[in-house]
Amino acid sequence: MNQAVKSGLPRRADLADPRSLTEMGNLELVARGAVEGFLMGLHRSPHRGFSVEFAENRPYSAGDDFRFIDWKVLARSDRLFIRQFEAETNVKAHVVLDVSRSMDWASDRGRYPSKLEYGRLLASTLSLLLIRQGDAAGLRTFDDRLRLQIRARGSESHWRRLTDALTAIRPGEETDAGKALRDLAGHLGSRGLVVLISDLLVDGSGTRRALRLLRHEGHEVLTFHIMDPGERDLPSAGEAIFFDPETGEELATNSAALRHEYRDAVTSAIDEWRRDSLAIGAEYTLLTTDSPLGTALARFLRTRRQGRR
Amino acid sequence: MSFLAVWALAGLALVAVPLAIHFRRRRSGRRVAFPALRYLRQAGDATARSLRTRDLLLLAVRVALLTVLVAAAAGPLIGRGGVADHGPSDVAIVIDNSGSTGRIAGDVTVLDGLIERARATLTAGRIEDRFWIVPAVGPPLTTAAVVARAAAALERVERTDGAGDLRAAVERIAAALPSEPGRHREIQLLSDWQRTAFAPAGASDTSDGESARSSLVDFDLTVYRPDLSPSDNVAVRSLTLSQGAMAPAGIPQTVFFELSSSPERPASDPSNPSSDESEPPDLPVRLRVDGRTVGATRVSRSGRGAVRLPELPPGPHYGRLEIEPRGLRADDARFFALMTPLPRPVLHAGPADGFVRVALETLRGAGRIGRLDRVDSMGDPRALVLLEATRGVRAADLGSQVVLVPPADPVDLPAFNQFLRELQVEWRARPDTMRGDLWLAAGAGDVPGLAETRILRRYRLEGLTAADSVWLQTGDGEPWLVQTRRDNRTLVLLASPLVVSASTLPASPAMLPFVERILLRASEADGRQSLEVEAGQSLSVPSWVDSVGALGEAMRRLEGGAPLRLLRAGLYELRGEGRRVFVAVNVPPTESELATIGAEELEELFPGANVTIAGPGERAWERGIYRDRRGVDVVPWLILAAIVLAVTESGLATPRRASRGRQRSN
Repeated sequence: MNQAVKSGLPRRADLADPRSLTEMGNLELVARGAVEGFLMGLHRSPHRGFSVEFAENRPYSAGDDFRFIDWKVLARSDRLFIRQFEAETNVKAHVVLDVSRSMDWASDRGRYPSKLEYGRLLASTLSLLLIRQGDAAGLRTFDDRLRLQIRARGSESHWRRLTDALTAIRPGEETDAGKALRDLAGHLGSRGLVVLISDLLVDGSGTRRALRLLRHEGHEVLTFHIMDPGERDLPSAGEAIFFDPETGEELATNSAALRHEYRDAVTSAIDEWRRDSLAIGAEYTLLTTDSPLGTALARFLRTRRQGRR
Repeated sequence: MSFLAVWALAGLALVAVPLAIHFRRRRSGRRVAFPALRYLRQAGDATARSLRTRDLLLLAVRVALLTVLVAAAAGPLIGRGGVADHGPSDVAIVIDNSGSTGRIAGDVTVLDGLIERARATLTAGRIEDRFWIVPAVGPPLTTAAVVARAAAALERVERTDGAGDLRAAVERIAAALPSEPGRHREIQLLSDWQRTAFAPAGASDTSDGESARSSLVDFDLTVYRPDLSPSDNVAVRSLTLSQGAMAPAGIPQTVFFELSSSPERPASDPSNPSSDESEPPDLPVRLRVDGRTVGATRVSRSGRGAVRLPELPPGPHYGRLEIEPRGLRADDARFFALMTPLPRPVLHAGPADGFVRVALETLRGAGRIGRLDRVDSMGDPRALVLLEATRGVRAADLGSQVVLVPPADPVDLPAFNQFLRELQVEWRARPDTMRGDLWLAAGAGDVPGLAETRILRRYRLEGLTAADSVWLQTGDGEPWLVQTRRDNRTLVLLASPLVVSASTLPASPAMLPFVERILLRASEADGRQSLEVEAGQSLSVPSWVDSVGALGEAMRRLEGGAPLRLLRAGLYELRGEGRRVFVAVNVPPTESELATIGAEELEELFPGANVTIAGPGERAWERGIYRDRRGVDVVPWLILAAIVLAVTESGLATPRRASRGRQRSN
């Protein structure tokens, strides 16, 4: 039994409720548990083995894919063995986390973590997964400019440093994602993987231009759009004055009367982000803060595999 | 338009509440942090116009809802309401239950139709209304009663064979209805419009009548006009016994009668369906006495006839003259009662060549009084005594029936008064000075020719008491013929001697019947009351009577001496102290005249009143009654409108169902 399980984490922390994970507080432990749970599930899944480098054979067991049976060994020994592959280990991944004030919000803190908490957990988990696969992972945070910058490394001790840094993050000010990502493009050297974690309540055109720049410079770009469930479906607050905690703007309206139109506006924005990401060759994934981390990790691995092909 | 609770309109101030909320909520409200404000703003921009419109619509609906609710609370009344939409009313229902309303119209009697209309009035009555049920014949059945009690009283209205005076009834009830602020007074008259019911014979304007009519000023009087086709009616209008109802046994009697036809029409009238060419010109008439048919004849519709009575044994008898049923049933027969007493001997003390003696001998010769050989003395209980002179007569020797005629010479007055004193009566005769001649007044019509008698001289009668009855008066109101009963003795006293110097009576044709009548009166054989009365009239019942009942029906107890009012035509029997007498109750002749009064003429009978003629039919009646209509009560409609507005408000104020549906699908 591993350490995560001993600590009280669920056996499949990747499928657990995000709120319950963030409540445990220990980001390192939670992220590790989530990754281990995810990889345990992955062992029995068709996603296993996206690398092309052969590693070793193992005895065939029921359910294994026939495509990976080693026919030569079968011919020689009349026994069934499965060919296993190792992943590549030379990708430099840069996790870019939005820490602006809008990220520090949850519609119902009793049920959902804030977007920042969720992003922090997601960033830690992805980093560990990358490092476990032999890649190097770095961390950038931004609000109206780049704040924290930790270069990519491939060791678990580096991951713990990342996790400590993530734990120490506090909400920032207003967002200027375009400027931050342009600055990032200037700092990054060789091609790598840029994983943007943000609520995308940003200047859309500037941010898209910056992402296009990153793609132009040869980086793979993967955007995780974090939304609170209360942002997808407008809560029934009735007649109220709504204000943006980041800009201080106010709007007096009746939320009940606008729910349909609001959802249309959100859907339109999501569609626009997805369409523009596709246009520049970036990946776009929408996550709500009630989504299990396993969903994000699965989407991440699927994207990575598609990118290698 | 009016309001039941106009003060409730103050609630319109509540309209300010949604207005205040509408304009105030833009400036206040909870503050909610919401980072995705940009999407909210986009949504607001897309729906701002429709939202503003919806908000204004919502405001209008809320204002309308409050207005409608306040209006409903105020109880608006619009236009002229239905029959039940009226203010507090005092309603007097005068129902004509006289004999003429007993005829059949369709499947029911006219009276039944009138009662049905009265029920419609009560059905539309409200809890605050008060009702008076006043039959035209008989006392009021209820006064100031609520609907339920009035309905019960209405069911007690019964048909009579009497004659009503509808004008007098309306005037009396108009004077009786209380005048209270806030209450409407209305009289409803339900009648068959029989002309004689509105202007009965003998009705005359009096000061009381003038007073009653003045109370009709501005009164609402609704008169029901029933749909009655002209009715063909033949009645036995009158019946007379040739020798009167008290003819002694053995005197031949003939019944004279007269038929009347209503309405009057020519013998052959093709426009009248009841004018049948094949109808025989004469109608069969039957006479029944003591339950047996004793004679028959035929007469024309309006003709006269006579049927001879067979000799009847001494005692009371009854009978009726009848024709075939036609039109009004009650007047198809006329009842009569007669008494055939044994002729009684009359002892006379007075001038042997006087008019009285001649009259007595004439009556004796005709068998109307008994022979003198049947009695021994003035004290014989079988004898009647008529005294013109008291000299030599001892009061103690007299029998039980005495007629006293004062002396022709005033000098003999003290002796006459002394004789009265010995008879234990307080009567005294005093000389009187008259201013010119006088005529006999009250009661004189009972004896043919007596009303034409002139009184030239008389004594003033003093000492009369309430126990004495005055049969005849002179024109100046002084008693002329009085009667009393003292110590089992009946005394009759005249105020004038029966001589030509005192009156024209002795030499007139009325002398003979007059003498016979006072003798009968003294002998109490005429029962002190007529043996025939009209239905509805009061009958003074003799003191010995203790029970009464229609012939052949159960007797009911009766307080002797009390007035008795018999409402149905027929023969009745009075019993008491081992004696009995029959009384014939007949339909008043005026009830047989079915001619109706015109509308204009009827309105003129009630000057000052707001007369409305309604009918025929229930609808027309309901339009005419309850003149104090308040307008249509629209509260139910306002409540319905409030429900619709509330549902609309709910739909506008909450998220649309379709919107929720789309959200689920997304």
